[in-house]
Parts: sequence; structure tokens; C-alpha cells
Amino acid sequence: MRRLIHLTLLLVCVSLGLAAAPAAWAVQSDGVFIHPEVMDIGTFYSGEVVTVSGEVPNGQDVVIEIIGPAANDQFNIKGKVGPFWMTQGKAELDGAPAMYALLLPGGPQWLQKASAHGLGLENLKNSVKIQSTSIPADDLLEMFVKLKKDQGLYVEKGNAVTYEAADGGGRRFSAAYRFPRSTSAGRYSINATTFADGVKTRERTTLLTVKEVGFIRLVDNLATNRRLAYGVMAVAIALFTGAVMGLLFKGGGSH
Amino acid sequence: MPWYIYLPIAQHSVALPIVLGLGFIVGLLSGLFGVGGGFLMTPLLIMIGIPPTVAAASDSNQIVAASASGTYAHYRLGNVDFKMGIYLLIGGVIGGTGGVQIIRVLRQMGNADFLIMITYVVMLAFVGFYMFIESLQGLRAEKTVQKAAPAKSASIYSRLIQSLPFQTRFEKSGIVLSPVVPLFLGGLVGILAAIMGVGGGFIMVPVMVYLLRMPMHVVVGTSLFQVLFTCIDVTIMQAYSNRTVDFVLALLLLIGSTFGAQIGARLSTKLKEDQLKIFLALLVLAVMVKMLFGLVLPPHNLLSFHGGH
Repeated sequence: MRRLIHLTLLLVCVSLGLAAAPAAWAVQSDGVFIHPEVMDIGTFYSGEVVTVSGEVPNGQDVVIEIIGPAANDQFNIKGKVGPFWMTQGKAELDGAPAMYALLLPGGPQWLQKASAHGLGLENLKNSVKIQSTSIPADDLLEMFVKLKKDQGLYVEKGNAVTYEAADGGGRRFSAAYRFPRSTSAGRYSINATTFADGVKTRERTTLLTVKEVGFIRLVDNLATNRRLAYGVMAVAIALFTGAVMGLLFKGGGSH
Repeated sequence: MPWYIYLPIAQHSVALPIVLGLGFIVGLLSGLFGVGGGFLMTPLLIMIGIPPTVAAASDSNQIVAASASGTYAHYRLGNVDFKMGIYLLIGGVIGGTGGVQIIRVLRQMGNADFLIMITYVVMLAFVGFYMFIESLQGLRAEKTVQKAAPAKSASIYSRLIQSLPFQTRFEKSGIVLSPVVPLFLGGLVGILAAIMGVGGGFIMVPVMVYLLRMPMHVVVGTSLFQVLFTCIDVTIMQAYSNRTVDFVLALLLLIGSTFGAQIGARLSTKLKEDQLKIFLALLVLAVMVKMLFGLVLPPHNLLSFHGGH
């Protein structure tokens, strides 16, 4: 009887554990863990550090990619005519990630290794559809990457993955990346690629959800779903604020 | 107190003191000279990481507040000629609508952007230099007895506008003029403003001073009145058509700019007319030089996001 009670309690505990698990399971996929599980963009968001961790066998290394949601961007291309620089063409890039970070375990040689295995900004052209009216696609992509790097949205960072001994005998890896201030909402793919003696041995992927919350979400929804009302409201508030400021300053000056 | 705030449409987090400070500076210029400040604010917003399309549209939204505040301040000081403002506004709306069509045709023909930039630079240079030299002469002449004023009335332009029908008196400005003149000039400014993609305040002010011969203090208030309505229209259209108005950004800018506009309006009454013109001329020339450098110096990146002024 006592055994039966213990077994029942054990089953209840396991069931409760399973029921509570989905959130935790969602953040670790195939042994890769991320923290926080979900990143909220609220009114005072100014960037947030996301930590990626997991285990690898001894002697193996990990390269981590953080890939933002695919975007569609339109650009002007400048060219020189006589002494003047002017817009000479248009370009459209479809499918380039809004944000990209490559976190490497070592120095510049790792960038070459990762690139040879299809990782890094060098390989961006494989996933991007380019339409350009005046310059070759490769040149355009190079300019695009430069533009994104200037914005802090595309990063390749050496010595960004650290290791320590794991309990099970392998190595525990960890990498921290600060999401930039211009992060947008969406599903971010976090890939951990394992290398042994320069050969790719394993790929693991987990997803990070970045979402707008509170006032930011409210404004975004209004601007997207009720555009006219949003425009009128923006004007009304501007007029009201202008009038209030005018009244506040009343009597402060004269002819 | 948190120093950063996230902008939902720009999708970018900005430092509060910087945005409030930008708003204040541009509002000060707005109240001082009667210009909307769009030609100055948009590039500054782009510099702090705001996408160009969002910067331009949100700027229009904040100009609504700054110009409302400035118009109110000038109205209390008796510096708004509503009658003239309405005529200019009607002309501006008609001209602006036509200007949008013109720019569409120019873009189809190609190289429209170059034409716009060159028009911009030439106009700014002409207006800036003319205003600067004329004001400088005015300041010098003030020390001696003014004798040359009556000669102006005999010019061909003066005789032409005096010969137009429906002559009416504009009390606040103290001038008698046919409504055809402000309607026509408002239309021209509207076309230019639409082509250049700005509110047109900095073109309208010289037009009022030199072509409508309005007193400078009335010009500032009346220009703000006209800019107010132009920007209301632009804000609603941008929010509806392009979803580019960031209300949070505009709110922060307008808090700074409405303070600035009030202080600017007070400062404008303490300065002499020619001093005001010289400051505006210097501002116009500075923008012209910046644009000229943009045309001549190689850009940091040949690629730029589509949109903005």
C-alpha cells in the first residue's frame, strides 16, 4: 500500500513536472540553453544580454550564430556624375536577417573556418535575394553588410565563447551577446555548430522569441491596425501639447 | 529614471536627453524664425539611428505641436496675419498637390533626385546670400538716416502687383494687395515644398518678406500658422499610407520643441528685424553648405536606406 502511494505521488510529481516543462523545453533544444527564454521589448528597453550555453565533448569547439527574422529592405545607390554624387539606382534586398551575430571561440582563424563551413556574413549571399539596377550583387551585398555593421546589427566577434569543465566529463560552453538597442520583435534562431579538428560534427538550433509588451505593443498595434485613427490621434495630442505648453508660458513675455 | 526609451515604429531605443535636446534646439529655431525645422531635424534624427522614413514623418508630427505652440505665442503677441495665412495655405495645398505629380513625372524620367538637390542648393544660396547682404546693409543704414525706402515702391514688381484686381487690405501686415499674389506665391512654395519633401517654412519666410513685403515679426507668426496646417496634413497622410509616424518619438521631440518654440518666440521680439534676418540667412547658408558637401564629397557608403527628405 505504502509503495502504491509512493508510486502515485511519483507519477503526480512527474506529471506536474511535464505539465510545467514546456517553457523550459522551449528554451533548450538538443542541449542548447538560452537565457532569458523570452525577451520583452518594453518602454524602457535599451538592449539586453542573452546567454547561450550547453555541453560539448572534450576537444570540440562551438561557433554560435544568432539570426534575426528575415527582412525586406529598399535602398538608394549613389554614383558619381561629373563633380556630383547623386542617387543613380535602386536596390532591394529580400531575406537578409534584420540582425546577425557570429560568436567565435577563437581569433581570426576561426572566422575563416566558420566561413568555409557556410557560417558568417561571407555566406549571407546564399540566403538573400538581390535586385539592383546599377551595381553587381556582390558589391551591393558588401555595402549592405557595411551599412548593417555601422548600425551595430551585424557582428562577427572573436573569442566570444568560453569553456569550463562539465560534470559529465565534457566541456560546458557559454557565450553572452548583448542584443542592440535597435532590436525588433520576431523569432530569432540561435544555432550552435560543433567542430572537431576543423570538421563540422553537429548542428543544434533553438529559438528565442523577442516580443513587444505593454505601451510599445499598444502603440504598434494601433499604428498597424487603425492607421487613420492613429494619425488623427497623433495630431490631436500634438495640438493639445502645443496648446498646453503655450498656456504654461502665458504671461511670460510681452511686446 | 531610465535614460533610454524604445520607439515602437522606429524600432530603436534612444537616449532621452538627446531626443529632448534635439527637440528644444529645433523648436527654438522654429519660434525664432517661423520655420518648421524639418530640414534640420530629419538629418539629426537619422544621425541618431532613426530610419529616414520614420524620421521625416515623425518630425512632421512634432512640428504640429511646435508650430501650434509658436502660432499661439505669436497670436498673443499680435503677430499672426490669419487672412494672409489662409490665402497662402490655399495656394500651398493646390501647389503641393501639383508638386507631388511633378515629382512623380521627374522620377519616371530619372535623375530627379539630382535636380531636387541642385534646386535646393541654388535656392538656399540665393535666398541666404540675398537676405544676409540686405540685412547687413539694413543694420548699417540704421545708424544713418534711411533715405532709399521710397525707391522700392517704384519697381516693376510693385507696379505689377498694384495693377492686379481685387486689391484688399491685410490689417495685421499693414499692406494692400490682391489675393491673387499670396495664392500664386503660396502655390509656388507648395510645388517647391512637395518637390523637396519639406514643409516649406524656410522658403515661405523669404517669400513673405521680399515678395509680399510683410513686416518680419508678422511673417514669423503667419508662417508658423501655415506650417501648422501643412504638417497636420502630412502627419495624417504618412500615418495612413506608410505607417511611418512614431508617436512616441514625436511626443518626446515636441516636449522639447514646444519649450524651445516659446523661448524662440520671445527672443524674436527682443531682436531687431535685420538681426533676425541675418540669423535666418546664416542658418539657410549653413544648410546650403552641408547639402553642397553632400553632393561633392564621396559618401561613406554608396548604399542608403530609401526614404526621408
